Amino acid sequence: MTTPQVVQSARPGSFKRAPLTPARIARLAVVPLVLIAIWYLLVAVFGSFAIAPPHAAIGAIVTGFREEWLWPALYITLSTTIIGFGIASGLGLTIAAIMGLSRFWGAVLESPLLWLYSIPKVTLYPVFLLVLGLTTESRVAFAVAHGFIPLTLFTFSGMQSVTPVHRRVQRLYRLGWWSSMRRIYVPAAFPSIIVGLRYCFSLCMVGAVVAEMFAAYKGTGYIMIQAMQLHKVALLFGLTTVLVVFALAVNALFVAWEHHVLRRRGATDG
Amino acid sequence: MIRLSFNTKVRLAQFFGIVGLLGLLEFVTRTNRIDILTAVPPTRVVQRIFEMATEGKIWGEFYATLFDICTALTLAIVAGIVIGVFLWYRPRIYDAISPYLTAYYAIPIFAFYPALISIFGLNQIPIVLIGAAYAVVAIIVSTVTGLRATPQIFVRVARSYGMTPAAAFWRIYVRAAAPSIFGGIRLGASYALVGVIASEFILSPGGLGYLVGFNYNNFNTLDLYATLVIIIAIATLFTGAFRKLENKARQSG
Repeated sequence: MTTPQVVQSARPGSFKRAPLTPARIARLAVVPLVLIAIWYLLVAVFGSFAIAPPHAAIGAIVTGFREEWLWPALYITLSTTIIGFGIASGLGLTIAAIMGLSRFWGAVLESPLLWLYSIPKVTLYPVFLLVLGLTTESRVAFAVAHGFIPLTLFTFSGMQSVTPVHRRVQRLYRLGWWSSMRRIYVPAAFPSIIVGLRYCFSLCMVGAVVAEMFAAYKGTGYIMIQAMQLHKVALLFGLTTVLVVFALAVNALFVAWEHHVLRRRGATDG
Repeated sequence: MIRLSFNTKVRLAQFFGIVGLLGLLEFVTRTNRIDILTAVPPTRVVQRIFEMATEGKIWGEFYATLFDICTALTLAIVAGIVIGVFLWYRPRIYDAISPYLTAYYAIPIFAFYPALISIFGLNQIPIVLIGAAYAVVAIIVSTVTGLRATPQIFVRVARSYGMTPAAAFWRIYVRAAAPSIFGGIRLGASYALVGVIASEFILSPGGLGYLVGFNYNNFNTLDLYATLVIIIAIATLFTGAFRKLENKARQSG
């Protein structure tokens, strides 16, 4: 009877400028403040033996930095994530370009990729370990395996949005591979590419952390499991917070980039 | 010369791609180009799955995992719809929360797993909670979006018939939002599955995910691959079933 209106993923021109007014900042601060209040409440319910209160968690992180063993661990996770993100971006964009330019390859690869996206890839980590050993390479490869699929799918669907007129222009001017990419497909897919990169980064980070949790002798994930086993709750909750805040910050940067691009388009197109 | 339709060509390419890859794997493992500790022939894996099914030990882990997934999903559906309706009813709260809902899936949710273990102990509770936490936001978002997207014309119909708010909610809004909510449940089902199996894999007392880690640590490569194939098959069937459900909801909506 009814078809739900799919939320329009931000279309160029439909974007209002949302300046960071004090009112908006205050509204954004509500959720973190409520979460911190809930956190204290949980400490009151479960006791500080099970849950470290926020100030203790921050204290453990500060101590970790002061004693200079925390930064190396975070650095390992960060570098695995970033190297993975770099490789996954290259891989994802290349596969998407092949799929977007050829109707045949697009149709052949789309459903296997959707399928790969839905299976629990975390459990495939032992296969990476068996093939690549207990090395940085296996953790990077695992991060790549997590990150490249959403980027490919988002970029591919972005390339589908090229209008028939533009396709005809491409044929009319006999644009080569490179120039049709540069002048037609990449501009059309750009907002989707940024969304894809955002997902790609956060999934690479999940891959890196999970890999360290399961089998590693260094890195943030490893330290978290160790802190859990030694019952260092303050450190454990502190590290969880650091990872969450970092992921949210990177995510916000990508969102800001996306909004910036869409706004500029809104200004020139419409 | 037979002319094949585009769809046939696509299906053929997919079929031969998969068969080719499996065949290659079979060939390199049977001829010992890859050692038996790294990979095993696919035919041997299939054989082993049947052996495991008759031995029966695997079923215990299978039921444990399935139970956890279903519990996590049920929790997520109930909480997700309740919270979703609440946020739709209170748009100001929704406005404050919505940027965080968008950013939610950027959070490495498994980072909470060790913390949950330290609170609840090494049992099913942290596993179910991670699965539910992974699924719930997809359902919240789809509920709010579905309700908010109720066509104004229906809302006006409700008003002109003088429906009570409760009647309008059940007869208009719920029906209009159902396809979107089912879409969220489908996504949530696949997230709950990933959340549960991945948590079992990282650290747990049992379940299929645990079995993967266990077999890896014991150099039991054959059983490792057999378990992986079982997990992938379950994931595929599970997601497929929920996709069917969603399609049905969309058609009858």
